[in-house]
Amino acid sequence: MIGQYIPGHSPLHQMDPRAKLLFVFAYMFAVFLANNPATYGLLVLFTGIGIYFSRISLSVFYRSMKPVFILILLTSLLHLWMTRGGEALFSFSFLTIYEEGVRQAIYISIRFFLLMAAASLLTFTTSPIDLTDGMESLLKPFERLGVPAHELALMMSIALRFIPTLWEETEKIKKAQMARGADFESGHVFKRVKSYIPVLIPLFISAFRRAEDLALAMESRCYRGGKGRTKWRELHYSHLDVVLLLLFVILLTALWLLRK
Amino acid sequence: MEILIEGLSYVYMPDTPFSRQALNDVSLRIPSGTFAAILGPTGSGKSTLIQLIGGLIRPTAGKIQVGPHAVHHNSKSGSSLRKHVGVVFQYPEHQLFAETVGRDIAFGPKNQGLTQGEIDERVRLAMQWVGLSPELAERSPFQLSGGQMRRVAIAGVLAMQPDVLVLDEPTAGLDSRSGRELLETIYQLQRERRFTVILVTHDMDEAARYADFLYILSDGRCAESGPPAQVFSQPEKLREYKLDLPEISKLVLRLNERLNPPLPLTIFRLEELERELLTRKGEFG
Repeated sequence: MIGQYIPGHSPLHQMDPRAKLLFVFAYMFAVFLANNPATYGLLVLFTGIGIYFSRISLSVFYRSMKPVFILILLTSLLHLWMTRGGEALFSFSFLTIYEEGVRQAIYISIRFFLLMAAASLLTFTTSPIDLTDGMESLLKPFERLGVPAHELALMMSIALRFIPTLWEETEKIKKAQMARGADFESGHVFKRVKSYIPVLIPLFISAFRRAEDLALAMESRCYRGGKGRTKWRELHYSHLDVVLLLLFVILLTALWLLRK
Repeated sequence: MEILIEGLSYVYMPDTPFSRQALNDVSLRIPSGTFAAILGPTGSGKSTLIQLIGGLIRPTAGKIQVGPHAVHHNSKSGSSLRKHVGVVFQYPEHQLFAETVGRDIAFGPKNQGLTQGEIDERVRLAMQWVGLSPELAERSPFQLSGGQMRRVAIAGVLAMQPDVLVLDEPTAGLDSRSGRELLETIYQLQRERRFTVILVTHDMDEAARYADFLYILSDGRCAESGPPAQVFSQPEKLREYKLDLPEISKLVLRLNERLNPPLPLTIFRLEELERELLTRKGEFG
């Protein structure tokens, strides 16, 4: 699944989450610098090396990217159809495919893939706790501008924490209603949506119950917001993060030199 | 209906870094019309086994047969089993959803395609079976006490009149008295109507008291099976599976240290023990 953390000890796993977050953020802009085969090739190579060093098996990677491939296919088809320019390569009644369309389709596909691969690598190699800690620490300077960094991070970590729990709960309730003859698979759309009512109501009730329990548990342990709160696990930059920074600078320079 | 399980295996999330084998080549037979108990420590595969019997998940390998209906690893779905097996999950009151108790219990029979008259009759009967008074039918299930909510949820499954009733830890979270009353209700109903009951529990006393047959799961395998008297006659083996003797058997063993001839180890009900001791008192008194 997209966004799933896969525990490990690869160099990518050991990098500081702040460094990874900043890198992915900057990388998303860097991808748009590419505008010819050489620059795209360089970015693909760079991402490939990243995948290799994450020690995540290609089959797992492929499976998580599968839904994205459908999106990529759709957009590239649209480009093939719509983009005009250059020589007409192929013509059949109302459909004409131009050279520019093919080029755009390929570039957009690669760009899409690069963006998704970078985001997936981040979530594959960073535990949700590290991710929110990193985000909180990066947002800290903006607290003066009124950004509630700690609260945002807390909300995010609670949300992330409860996704698997609620998912499990959904499966359990679904099975319980299936055991009572509920059918979630057949019938037209409206009927199928309606068939989920016996799942959604218990799910909402349990979500509210959990929220209440959690609030009580936090309060009874004297939670009083982010002020004065220290951390048990502190984030530290290491030489790996310096390596990442250097690599990124080299990548940027190379892109600058290679682009038309 | 008889339940026949052959070479049953189940793997969660196969082909991922998270894959986990929950059941490993389990074979067992539960005779028709018996009260069976499945015992085992947490993570031994009990819940997986009952979901397979209920036709809610498909096996990775092996076969489950309930009466004439069989499900294999390549069966399209387990729906043929679902029609005959009623599964009551742990904390079943968490799946209540309808505005009234009556409508919630009617959900199953309605999905079976019965007529309104039949549905009303099924709901009335099921409520009577589990000891809910008829006027509760118009109340919201969310206003009831925990014990009552659980009875409503169980009635919801009983109303489908399944040939096999599976109960996953039906007494968890209830106080000991409501728990005992609930099981006693189900036991009496089973004796009357002679359907097959599969009780999943880790309470040895519950199992010893009600079950005709015990099946012990350990690490995804069926490690031991037989009538309670046989299974509980090997306390060392039980300890291997991280299980304990029933409290009553411990008491009988303690008494036997001082009694000659010893009491039989087949006593699993307090009433029986009382009777046995009273007759002895009469004999030796």
